[in-house]
Amino acid sequence: MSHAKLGSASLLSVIILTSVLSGCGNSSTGGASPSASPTASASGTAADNLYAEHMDISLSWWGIGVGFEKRDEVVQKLEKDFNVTLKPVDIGWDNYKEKNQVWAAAGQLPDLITNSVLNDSPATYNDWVKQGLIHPLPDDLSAYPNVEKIAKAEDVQGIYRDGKLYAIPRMTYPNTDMWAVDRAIFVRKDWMDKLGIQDPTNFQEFSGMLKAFAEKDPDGNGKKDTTGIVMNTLGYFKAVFMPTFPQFDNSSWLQEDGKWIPFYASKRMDEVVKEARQLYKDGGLDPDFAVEKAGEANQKFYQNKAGALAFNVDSVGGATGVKAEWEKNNPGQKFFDHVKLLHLWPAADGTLYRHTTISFWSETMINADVDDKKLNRILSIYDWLLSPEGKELFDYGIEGKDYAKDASGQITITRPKDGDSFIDLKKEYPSLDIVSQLAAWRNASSIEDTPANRAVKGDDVVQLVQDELNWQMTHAKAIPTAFDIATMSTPAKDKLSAINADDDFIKVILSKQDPVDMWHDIVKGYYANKGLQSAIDEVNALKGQKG
Amino acid sequence: MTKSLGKELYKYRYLYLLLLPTVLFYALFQYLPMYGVLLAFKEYHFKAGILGSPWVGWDNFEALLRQREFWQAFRNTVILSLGRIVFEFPAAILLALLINEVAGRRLKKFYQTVFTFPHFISWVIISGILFNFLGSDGVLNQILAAFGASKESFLTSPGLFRAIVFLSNIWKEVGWSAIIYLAAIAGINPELYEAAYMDGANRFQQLMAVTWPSIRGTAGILLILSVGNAMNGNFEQIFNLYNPGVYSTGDIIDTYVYRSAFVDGSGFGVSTAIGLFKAAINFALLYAANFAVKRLGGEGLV
Repeated sequence: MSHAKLGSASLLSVIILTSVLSGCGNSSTGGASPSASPTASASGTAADNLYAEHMDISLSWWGIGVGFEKRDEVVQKLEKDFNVTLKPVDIGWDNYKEKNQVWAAAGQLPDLITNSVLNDSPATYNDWVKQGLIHPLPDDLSAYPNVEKIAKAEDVQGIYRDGKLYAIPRMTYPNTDMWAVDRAIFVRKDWMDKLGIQDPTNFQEFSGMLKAFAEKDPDGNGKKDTTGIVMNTLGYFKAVFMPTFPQFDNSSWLQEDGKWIPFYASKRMDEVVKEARQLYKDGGLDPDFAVEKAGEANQKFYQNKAGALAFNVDSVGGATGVKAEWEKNNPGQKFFDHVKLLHLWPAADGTLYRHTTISFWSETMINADVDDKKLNRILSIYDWLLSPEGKELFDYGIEGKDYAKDASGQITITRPKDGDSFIDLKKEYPSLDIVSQLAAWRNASSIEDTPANRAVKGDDVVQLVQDELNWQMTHAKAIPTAFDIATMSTPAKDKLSAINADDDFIKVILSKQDPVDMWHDIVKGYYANKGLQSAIDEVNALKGQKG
Repeated sequence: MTKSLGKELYKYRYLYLLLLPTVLFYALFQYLPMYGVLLAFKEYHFKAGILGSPWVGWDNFEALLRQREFWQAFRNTVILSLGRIVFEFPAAILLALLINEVAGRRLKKFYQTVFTFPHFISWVIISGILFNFLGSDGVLNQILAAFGASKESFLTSPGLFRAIVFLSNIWKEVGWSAIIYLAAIAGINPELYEAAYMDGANRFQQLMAVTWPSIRGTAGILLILSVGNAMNGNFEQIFNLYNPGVYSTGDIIDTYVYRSAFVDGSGFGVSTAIGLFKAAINFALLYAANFAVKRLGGEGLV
């Protein structure tokens, strides 16, 4: 008996053993680069056999696993047109940097790598270039004019290394002007009217308005349960200080006393921290701002607990936009009867500033293991993604199914309606959000005045965005921004990413100590422990060389 | 000698086969990966791998120890861990003793369920609950306002953060931690109580003379384990509760590493150095606690 039992038990242990061991085997990733076949390459000049050889291309994107699950018609079209099979590699918003690092370490990076090191950690970009993990783009991009346009954009020049470009930056807007509408202060104009407040013409008036929102019971419920301004995230709130210190808003470098320094080292920060503390102390700034998670505080604005919301103009539209959410909480009332955009006041020198920043965020990098033929195919795909034909697909869907185009180019949307508006293309094609943003963000498309946008977002929303953009272009001046320094890389400057000035800014606002003293102390720490001095020296030396 | 060993092995071959998966598991997943610790003394190069990357000596440790924030985080970790041992550790024992004294069986079960339940709520949700309770429009501030007092910002005040950490963790975990003590109490021979009762001991004297000595060994082991874990400061709790306003008292090593690993991507070496640093201290603490418990007449772990 015991022998039989022991025998079966040891059999079981063997099974467990094999399953454990097979579990740690290397699962094939599908991203293995195909060995170049020498036969097809020599002749292929004619357009029809340009894509004769079938290729597998692996690519990573946030949530691509779900988006590509159905392999909908958009994916199919891309695969058919370019004779490729796209192998999705999933990354998440909360882990993509870690995943990329781990894949880099394990030699398992996909062919097309989605990352954001250009903006967020230039040291990593330099590392990857130096260690040969990523492929440079060809010097001559004339065969891919749309990609070439990006490669030649002014603020992209800073990311060339030894004359070569190692990434396709993902442009947010085609130029740095359109960023003007990426900052907005929504304000309750009905509350302003009730309290007899005019548009503020300087910071003190602004502060007074927010204080009145908090203290003078603007909603008339007899309770002191309102606050002044809430923010979607801190970045949007920083725009409030644009008139006081423009470069604080976009966290850039500036020249002070003949030297280039990062914004946090400027003496103009004194005024900023003083003002921010005042807002907080007076109750004009949401007392919970440091505790709330991104987007959480917006609810206070929607639920009539806050008089102003710092966010961006485009966020007004859409099913979960500011307008829709506000009207959901205030049934029967019209958003635009109660809320307007508040314009900032001119700086001390009389100049009115508008937000601007570097025109891209995040990038596509190409695995160094990708051979030239695959590189060319990838660039062809990207060129198409950036082309007007690509945009037409992203705006209107599949021709013949979702829209019709006559000889003059007039487009008629034929896709079915859901209630008043057309059904959402993203619901029809789950991959659309991914494919359309692979090469460039769609921010510019989403704020332009097109029939597609008017159909989806409504006339009033499109008009608001257009009016605001025009107003900013006519009245305001872009923040003077040293784009070349933003992407400049020196050994010490790369290490400055260890400084988190936003966290320290919040700390100063919340504290009870003198804000200016505190800030000076913090900056002293940057100089003493974070290598700020050598970073400044290196940047100024390099800037001097370049003239 | 060798022959007899071979014989032994063959004789008990099935038993050794049963043992094999466990040995292999530890060898493969616990001991083999330890060579990764080398990274603490290397500058990691992707193409070269762990073994091929160049040595940098103590550079990673120096980089770490130079950072002011690291020392702040280190200090906070130590203080929070000490606080946990002083405030949270006895709370579970106390609760177990109290529940044990509840007369009705159903009532006992009821209390146990009520106290255990919060264990199953994640910290994300608890941070939301705390926000509703302690925020500027939270319950507590509304009560304060009703009495005419001015509002306090509880969640952003560095002086209160540690108290919030201890109290919220006691609330969440005390019932769960008490289970092991309750199990130990359930195993006590009732004759001991009867004998004590015959000797005229009241409830409190029974508790001191019978119950406590019976669970002291369990408490000793758990104390050693929690001291050996002191450098891990409960990342999930701190991460969900803290904000820049309370870094000065609440930022622990784990949260600091988490934040700095994200801004500076090339820090495999430094992260490993921190891990090794923590492990070394935990190891020393574990032995110290073990020694102390043994000296005090307890049983100890090793």
